Amino acid sequence: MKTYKKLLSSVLWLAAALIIWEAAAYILRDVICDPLAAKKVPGLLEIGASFLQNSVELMRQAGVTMSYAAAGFALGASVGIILGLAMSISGLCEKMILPYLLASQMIPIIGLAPIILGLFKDIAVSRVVIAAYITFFPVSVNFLSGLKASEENLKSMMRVYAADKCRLYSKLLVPNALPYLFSGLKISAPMAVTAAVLVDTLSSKDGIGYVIVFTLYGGGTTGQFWPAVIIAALLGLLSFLIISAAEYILIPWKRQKEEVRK
Amino acid sequence: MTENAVEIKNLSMEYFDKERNPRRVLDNVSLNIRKGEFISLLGPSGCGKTTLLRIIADLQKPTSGSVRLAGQNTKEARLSHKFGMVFQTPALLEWRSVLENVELPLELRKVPKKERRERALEQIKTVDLKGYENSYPRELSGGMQQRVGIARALAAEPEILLMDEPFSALDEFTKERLHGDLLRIWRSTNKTVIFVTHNISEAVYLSDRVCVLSANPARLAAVEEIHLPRPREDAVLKTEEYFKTVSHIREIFEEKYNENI
Amino acid sequence: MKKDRLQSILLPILPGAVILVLLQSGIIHKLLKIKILQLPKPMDILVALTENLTKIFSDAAVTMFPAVCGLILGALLGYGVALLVTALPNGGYGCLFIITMINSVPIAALAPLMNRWFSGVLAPKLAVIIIAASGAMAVNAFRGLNDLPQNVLELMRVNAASKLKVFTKLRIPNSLPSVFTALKIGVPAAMLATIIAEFFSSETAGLGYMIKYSLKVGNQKQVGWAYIAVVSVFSILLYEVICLAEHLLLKRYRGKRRINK
Repeated sequence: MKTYKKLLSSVLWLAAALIIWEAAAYILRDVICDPLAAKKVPGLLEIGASFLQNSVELMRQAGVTMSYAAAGFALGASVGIILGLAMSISGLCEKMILPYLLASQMIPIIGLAPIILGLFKDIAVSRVVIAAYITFFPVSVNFLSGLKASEENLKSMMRVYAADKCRLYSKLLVPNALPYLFSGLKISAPMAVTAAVLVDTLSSKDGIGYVIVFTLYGGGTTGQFWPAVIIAALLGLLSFLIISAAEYILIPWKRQKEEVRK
Repeated sequence: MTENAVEIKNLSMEYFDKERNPRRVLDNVSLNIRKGEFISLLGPSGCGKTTLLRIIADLQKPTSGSVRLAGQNTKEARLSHKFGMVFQTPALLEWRSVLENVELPLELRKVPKKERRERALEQIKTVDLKGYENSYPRELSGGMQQRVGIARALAAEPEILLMDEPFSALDEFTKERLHGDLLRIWRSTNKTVIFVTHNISEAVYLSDRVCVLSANPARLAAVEEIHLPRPREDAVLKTEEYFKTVSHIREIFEEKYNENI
Repeated sequence: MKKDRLQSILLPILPGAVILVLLQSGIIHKLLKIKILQLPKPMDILVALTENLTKIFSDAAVTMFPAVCGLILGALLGYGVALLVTALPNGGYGCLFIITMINSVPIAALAPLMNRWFSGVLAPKLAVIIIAASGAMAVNAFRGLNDLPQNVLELMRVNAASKLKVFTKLRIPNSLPSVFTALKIGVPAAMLATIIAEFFSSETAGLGYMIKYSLKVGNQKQVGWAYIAVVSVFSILLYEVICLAEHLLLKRYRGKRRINK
């Protein structure tokens, strides 16, 4: 019932937003007669048509960006998980690393894209590295707080049953931290996509971000611009949905009661 | 004279509070617990009875004194799975089914998969949860969850069962039912049970002996033998002897606590 | 005691110091086969920083003014949306969805687009920052306005509080911690948006422009790094200001609540 209402509301608002958009396009084009109307706010039909026309090419470019984002995300998530574990196992490690993790988020890494490119001399590697850099922080911090969040009682219970450190982690702390890990992953997945798109725009020859910038400055071929922007936004949403689906499958005990009982 | 399951000698425990003042929570407690005995540690909240139980379970270290369980120190006893423990909250792993939760201690003892499944199923039957093996803890009521906790404590077949206010969060009806279950299990398995509670009637109904602890710091104020007949049934709860025993222990408390204040 | 405190300061500094030394001595460059030209040594960056200090500060002013304004305006917009969505039950949810969608449009696509929509140099920059900063605020504030303690909500209902009163007495105070969480997320987002917007801007000043410009020029790399360090320092400062505001304001709030009782 509630999901249905949310969906209905989203559809209604989306419809309203589209109507406003179309109205703005109409006013710019036919009322104010802005010569740049088609570039500023093109009509929905035009966007749709160009989407259909270029769909194969757009999907290919989206695939390129998504694969870099996925590789970077996987790398960043692995680093984040290892760092989280290391900080949870050793308090010394946490004291030494955590302040730098926090500070690292304040460095505008995407602004570093040109430098990273200079360091690795390969655009593909740079894209992955930057997406990974963006990803690891929310993952490690969330995983760490999850590892620390086990109830004292449960830890006592594991001790009474003579669990060693390895089993304490594998049977209690890690499973207990999984929901936290997933909230970290859900934050970082769209960020990894954003990073990949951004690096595309700065210095690459393919990817959806490249299409955006190329069509924006490329004069005549403006048709692909809007579909590319929409796809870029949808890619972020898609990455979020993929992680949510994985969470639903991997953490069955956190599902709503009704869903478990069906 | 019967063999002792637990021997507590001159046990004291001190810690430093936030203002760095020493605080004594246990003061020179000595107690022998017989094999197969059902004994209660009775006292008001925060008096140190849980600390005493946690020291027996090797979850905390005493400042001085010693605890020996069947000749072993607490760490050896823990590592050789001499005791199982039931906590105030069910302390179940929410990502494991009932069956997997009960299997946990056996898993940690590296019992082969087939055997631990059989033994876990048997304990689930003992606590009357047949049919719920594959449910998640959150799908069960509080009383059922606590029964899973008991089944888990029994699964490794420990000689001693440590229970830390296991029924205090349950409603009166569920509690009485679990009392009956616990006595039945205790009778058929012949385990030593150390039961921590702040409920006088619960302690009297269940125990062979009730240890009354005074607070600040906890001292052994009195150890009362309970002479109610065994096996105890609900009917005991209506007898005059039961009321008399409860009143007697209440008087000990009144005496102790007036004195201390 | 003193040793502990010394340790807790020294330990975090240690790895940073080691890395700085390794960078300065060129060991990292050799290991990773990087030319000094690409990754300048820390001392060179420091020298570049001191030599260009006046220019850096004027660029910082160009960047920080829209960054701070955009952060504030974006926060207000996001909070406004959250209020609106909360006031329109059910129907408002879709609005939040639209905001998240707009928020997930990559900044690199937004920046050039805003250049088209708005004229001048300040307006497009502000627009980008506002969009970047409003998303987190809308989502977090919505959570704070709606994750209410159930019993207090019921208390308000029992006392026949109007919808407005529920907002002023419960929802808005309840949302304040989330507002600060969102602001803390918003600082790096807004800074990043500003830098990216300057990458695409026609302006020839500002931290973002200078980073892009210096890194393109062969022998100016250490200047680019100096600018990156400055951006990081300003981000951290802004973040600390928000932490301080949170500390002061929320403490004051707690005080007020106590008086109201």
